Amino acid sequence: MKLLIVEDDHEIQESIVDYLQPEGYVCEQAFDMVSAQDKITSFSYDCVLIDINLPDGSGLDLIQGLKNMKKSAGIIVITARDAINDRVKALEFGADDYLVKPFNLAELNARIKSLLRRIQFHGNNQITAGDITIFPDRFQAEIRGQSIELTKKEFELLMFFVSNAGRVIAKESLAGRLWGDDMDFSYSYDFVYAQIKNLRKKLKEMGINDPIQTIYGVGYKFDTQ
Amino acid sequence: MKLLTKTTLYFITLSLVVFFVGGVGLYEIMQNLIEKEVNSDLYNRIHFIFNEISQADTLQNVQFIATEPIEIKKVAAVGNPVPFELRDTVLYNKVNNAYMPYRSLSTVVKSGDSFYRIRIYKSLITSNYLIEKVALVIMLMLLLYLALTYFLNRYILGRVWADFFRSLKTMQDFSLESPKREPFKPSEVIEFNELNQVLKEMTDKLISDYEGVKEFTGNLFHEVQTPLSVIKNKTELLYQELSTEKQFQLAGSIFSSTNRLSDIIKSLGLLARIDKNQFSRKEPIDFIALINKNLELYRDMMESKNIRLEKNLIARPKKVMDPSLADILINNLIKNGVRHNIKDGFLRIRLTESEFEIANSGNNPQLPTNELFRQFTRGSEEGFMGIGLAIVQKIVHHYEMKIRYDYLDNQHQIEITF
Repeated sequence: MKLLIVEDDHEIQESIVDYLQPEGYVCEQAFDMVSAQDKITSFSYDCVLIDINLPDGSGLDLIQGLKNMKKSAGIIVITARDAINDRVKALEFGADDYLVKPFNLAELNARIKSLLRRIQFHGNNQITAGDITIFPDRFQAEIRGQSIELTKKEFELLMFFVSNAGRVIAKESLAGRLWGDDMDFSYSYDFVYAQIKNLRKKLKEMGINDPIQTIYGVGYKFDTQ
Repeated sequence: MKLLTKTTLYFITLSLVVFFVGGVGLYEIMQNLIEKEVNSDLYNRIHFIFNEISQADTLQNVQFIATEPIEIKKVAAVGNPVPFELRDTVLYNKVNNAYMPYRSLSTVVKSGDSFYRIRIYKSLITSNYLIEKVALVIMLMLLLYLALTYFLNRYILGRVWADFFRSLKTMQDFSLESPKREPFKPSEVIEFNELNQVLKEMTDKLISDYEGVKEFTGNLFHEVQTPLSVIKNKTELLYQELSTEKQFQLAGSIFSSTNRLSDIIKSLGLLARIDKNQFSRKEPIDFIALINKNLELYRDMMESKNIRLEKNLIARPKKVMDPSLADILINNLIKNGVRHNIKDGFLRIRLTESEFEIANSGNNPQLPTNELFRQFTRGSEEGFMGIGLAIVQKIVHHYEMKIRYDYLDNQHQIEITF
């Protein structure tokens, strides 16, 4: 999988690359419009991550460029919090998804995976993590071929864990994933714990060793090994 | 009290005092003058009579030269000199068929061997009448003068202060939120021009300071997002490298504090954007849908606290707002109601044509209710309390709605009148 990350801030670039590389992606970097345009004309990417605010232009033009060239790359845009118009325009121009700064890397990772799955498998894929098999497009999961009853939130939670398997995930990222960024968690994550408790219980009932490790003060780590 | 009312009131009070003192004084003076006149006339006449008597040595003709009543009575001998005696009295007037006031002067004269008491009278009717009429005329004049000066005063004051009132109006219309203000008009009054000058300098300074702060905060909110992103992302990366519980705890603190900072910046940025009028869409809002949507968002949170929901959405208010702001408004109110709730508490929402009311069980805020809407008001254990409500208040004021907060019997209640 080949990704292009268009982001002018070097630190953010590095963070994204650091997080995504272990997933097996080939990450190419562009720090401005000109080099990004060069790259999208010369190469093909599976997914392009575009920051709308670039020093020498708007990422929106890049989206149009990609669409004009009939490139099949998935497009995820990164926008500033108050740039609602940019967000709407980006989606109109053909972006597949958007993230608002400041975002979580775990969230970005999950979005990229979900987007790549959508593009490549056209709704017929499955993800396997140990004994767990997930059918993202049907919102279903199976344990050793046996279907497991999950609520929508539990399913999303499982998906997010599996997408970030082996990683330490902040409870804030989980909460943001399940309830959206607009919800204020007032620094109480009781209802996140409640969801995790339910998911754990259901997995345990299916005879799975608890794959969710609690990391005190931080969040969780999902590991099926 | 209004400036014109106050000056007029002073004017009237002082005028009345002056008129009263002046009127009484004038009356006294006139009375005095006329009395002197009457007395001197009486004395003149009596001396005339004496003259007659001494020339003719008889009282025969005296009766005839008198134009006014005269009494001559023979009395017993008296020793000289007999003092003149002035006295006020009444006499019956046949013509008028009434008693009339007279002043009499009497003395005793010797004619031949006999002594006679001569009493001459002078009618006071004309002088009283005169005093009355003159007083009346003076009073009328004074009243007329008072009325005239009252209106003149008001007119002149109005004219003189007109520029002041215009400046005042300009200042009243002044608003930092929409600083398209009218310039002060030059006045003929030097002091007003000076006042205008001072006001202009002050407002200019205010506007430039305000703009500066707005720009600064705008830039700050924007610029701070990137480093915040970096801290958050680096901490996430750091998470993957850590092994001990202590390390995780430290990194976890960094991450949650950064998130918290990010939330605060987000809220402050929102307040600044409302101030800058960046939410200008005008659409009718379906509040029922909006309330249900936001309740759904907080359902898990409510379930985890076992909060009972009492929903009573009676009517759809017709309110045109920016949809984002309407959403933020309802979201913040519901969030507030859920967040500051207690375990096994309740959340009550009522919506009518003209009102949105949200009440929840909760502990005493331990704050004066008017403090609750201020930014960064410290709540109890929940950290920042005010910022959500500060946003609510900002939106409410932005659309000129009314908000009321009450705390009674462990129940918080916020009422918005559309």
